[in-house]
This record gives sequence, C-alpha cells and structure tokens, in this order.
Amino acid sequence: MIRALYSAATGMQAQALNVDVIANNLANVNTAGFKRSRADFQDLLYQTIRAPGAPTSNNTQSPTGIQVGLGVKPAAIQRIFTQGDYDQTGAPLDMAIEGQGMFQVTTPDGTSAFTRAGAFKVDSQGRVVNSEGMPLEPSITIPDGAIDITIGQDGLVSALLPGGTTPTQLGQIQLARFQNPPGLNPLGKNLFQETESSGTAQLGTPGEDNRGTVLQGFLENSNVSVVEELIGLITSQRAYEVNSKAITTADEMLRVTNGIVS
Amino acid sequence: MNRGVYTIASGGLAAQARLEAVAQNLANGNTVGYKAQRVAFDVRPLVNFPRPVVDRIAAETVPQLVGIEQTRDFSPGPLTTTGNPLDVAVAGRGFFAVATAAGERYTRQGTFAVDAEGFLVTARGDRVRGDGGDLALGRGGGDVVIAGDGTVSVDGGRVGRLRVVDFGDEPALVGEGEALFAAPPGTTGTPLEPADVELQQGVLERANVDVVSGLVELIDVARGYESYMKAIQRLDEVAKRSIEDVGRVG
Repeated sequence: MIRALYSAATGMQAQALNVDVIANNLANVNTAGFKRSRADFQDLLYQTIRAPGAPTSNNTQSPTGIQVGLGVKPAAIQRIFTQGDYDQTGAPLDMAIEGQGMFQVTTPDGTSAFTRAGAFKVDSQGRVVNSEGMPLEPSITIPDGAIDITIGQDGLVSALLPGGTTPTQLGQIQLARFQNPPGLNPLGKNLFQETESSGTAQLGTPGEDNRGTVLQGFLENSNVSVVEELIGLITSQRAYEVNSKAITTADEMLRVTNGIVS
Repeated sequence: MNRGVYTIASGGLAAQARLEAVAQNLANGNTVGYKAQRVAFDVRPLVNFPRPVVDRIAAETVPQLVGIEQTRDFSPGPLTTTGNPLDVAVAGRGFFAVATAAGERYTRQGTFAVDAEGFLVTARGDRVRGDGGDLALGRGGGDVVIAGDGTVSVDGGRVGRLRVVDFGDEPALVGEGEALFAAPPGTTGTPLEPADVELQQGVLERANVDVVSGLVELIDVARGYESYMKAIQRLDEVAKRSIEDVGRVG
C-alpha cells in the first residue's frame, strides 16, 4: 500500500523530468546547431517477497515468485545527434556541416569547445569568431578589405584581397569528430566539451574519415521536431495524471482502512 | 474470533498487491522495453486447519485465503520511430543479451550508445553482446547500419551480429530493474538464428502498459478494497451483537 504511493511518486517525478527535457527542446526549436535531448527511463530495483523458484511445498516451486516494483528512475538524458535541416542565409561566414563533425573554438579560458552552430563572424582583429566572440581553431584571419570570401567543401577559406585579381588562400577549417558524440558535455551557448565518455576530439579535414563537408551560406537548424515534442508533452502530461490517480487510490484505501476502526 | 475476518483480510492484502503492481506499471508507462506486471489470485485453505473434517457443514465452510501469484506480461509493446541510428527494437521474439557484472542479462530496451572504447552499450553502460562476445563498433565513428537479422555494419563493413536470445512464449524471466531480466537457474534461452531475428533500427519498443485499463483497475481495486473493509466491519458488528445480546446474563 505505502509502496504504491512511492512507486506512483517516482512516476510523477519521471514525467516531470520528461516535461523539463521536452520544454528545453521546444525552447531551442530555432537555435541553430541545437541537438535535441531525450529522457530515457528504467524500472527501479524490485523488492523480492518470494524468490522465483522458492519451494511452495515439498515438491512444488513458485514459478515466478513475488516481486514488488518500486517505480521508475531516469536512466539517461541522451542527446540525439541527428542532422538538422538547412537554412540558406547567404552570409559568407555562415557554415553548416553536412554529416558528422563539429567546429572547434577556443573559449576565453583557453580550453577548446565544440559546436555545430556555424554562424561565424569577423571580430575587430579580423579573426573568424562565433557569436560569443570565441575564435575558430585553427584560427583564420580575414584581412581588412577582403571581398568574395569563399569556403570550399573541404573547409578551404579564400578571398579576394584589395588590388588582387586571383583569390588568396587564408586557411583551412578543421572539423572535430568524436567516437561517442552523445557523451559530450553540453556547456550551453551551443558549445560542447569533450569528456572521457565522448573520447578525444579527432581533428581533420572536412570530408575525410567520415567527417562531414562544409556548406557555405547555410546554417543548420535545430533538429527538434515540434510535432514530436508536442506528442511527447501530451503523453507525459497524461502519464503524470495517471500516476497521481494511483496516489489518490492508495490514499483512498488508507482512508477506508482507518474508517473500520471507529 | 470469526475466521471469516482473516479470509476477508487476505482479500484486502491481495487488493494491495494488485494496487502495487498497477502503480508500478503506470510509473513505467514511458519506460522503453518495460513489460507490465500482473497479479493473479488463487484460493488456498487456511493453513493448519484440522483435517480431515468429518462434519459436512464444517467441510463446506472451510475458511479459505486469497493467495497472490505474480506474472509478467511479455506481450510486445507498441513501436515508435525515433530515427536515432542506435535505437533498436526487437520487433519479433527474443531479448538483447547484455554483459553485466552479475553475468549475462536480457533486455528489450534498445536505447543503445557507444562508449569511449567503441563498444555498443545500454543506457546503464553495460556492453551489448554480439555473436563473438561484446559487440565493438570500433573507434571510427562511421555510419552504423543494423539489419533486420541483427547484423551490424559500420560504413558497410560487418562488425558482428547482435545476440538475440529467445525464451519461448512465456519467458520465465525475473525482472531485476533497470530494464534487465535474469534467467533463473535451470532456464536457458536459445540464441536465435539470423532468419528468426526481427530487429528494427531507429525504432523503440514502448512499454506494454495500457493506461486506460490501468485506470479502470485502480477504481476496481479501490472499490473492492472498500467492500472488504465493510465486510470486516459487519462481521465485527455480529461479534459485538453476540457478546452484548446473546451473552447477556439475567
């Protein structure tokens, strides 16, 4: 009886967590390079009242035993690294990655962070930086007055310099690939950090060794599907409700029990 | 004391066991690969009742208790498409084999990931078993394709086949929590041949919990329990009447 109260409570907590994750996905539906998350659940350990195979008489055994479940727990909040849609922007430093891989940027504290958000800009020193002003690594500098910036599929950046007639190569963008991208640590601001679970970043030329290619003038939209998230929201809400009904029922039964002693 | 009270109380305890199972199922309504618990009741004679009963009336009014039996419903749950390449559902028979610290365990929860060493792992981090031991996808991070028969290839190259183990129509598996099932001693599963394996990539099997019937069961349990308690109250009144009226002296 009391166990049912707590089992149902874990169910409500799990659904509340599910709604949190969905709300975050929905809030980021227009965030370029955002990857949606999903809450995965598992049943909690069972309390064994009678072990399976326990003798029920001299020559019979309980085939299944009696085990009371104690509810549910979150197993993982998994980030889903599927490809998002592309959005054509035409801006020369907007880049989308077709396939696997991430851009590497240097954070203010000097460490590396990784991102799929390819909305890059030029800072006052001419460096290519992300929206937070973190420079792309390896760093690329666009000289003052350069026009017709072109970025090839392989990440080669070239531009026409003032007075020049042929494009000058300014550098090559490298993409980082991870063994287990869902193991990356999200830092917010579209940035991820490598962890032991993700494996170390393997930097290389776009298009090589399963790395995606760079698409200039496009941004990768978030991979959140509003319809899918809304369905998730409805089912979580209903599941939350039904768990609260189990609590009400347990409470009702306790009330009735108290009522027989008058 | 009236033996009927114990019979009714056993019914009340059985209703509680049923409520606990329903609460557990509803709490796991969103758990991928969860299999619902069912509680069945049977009737047993009160232990230690003197036998043989000679008196016919006594023989037919032997107090009995409601016993609790528990089973698990291994029927398939609905499949939903997620598009994630490492989500796999068993669309047919069998379970994925998982290597845990306690030995081989079985699961229908196919929310897999890759660990830092390139092995396919469950959400808990246990390695998923293939035909040649733990299944390694390698550190390349290429495109993973899982065929219907369980063959796993990375960038077109075969790396192994998922081990799918069948336990028959009514598996005698014991739930250990964390979506894992253990085979009790004496129970052995049959690893399925490629032709019998039916897997779907990018798909997950939802819990086989029917929320509507769960709600109906909640009402049923609560009202049934109320009736048991009313019956106990009534028997108590009868006892009180006997003591006060029948036993009145003078």
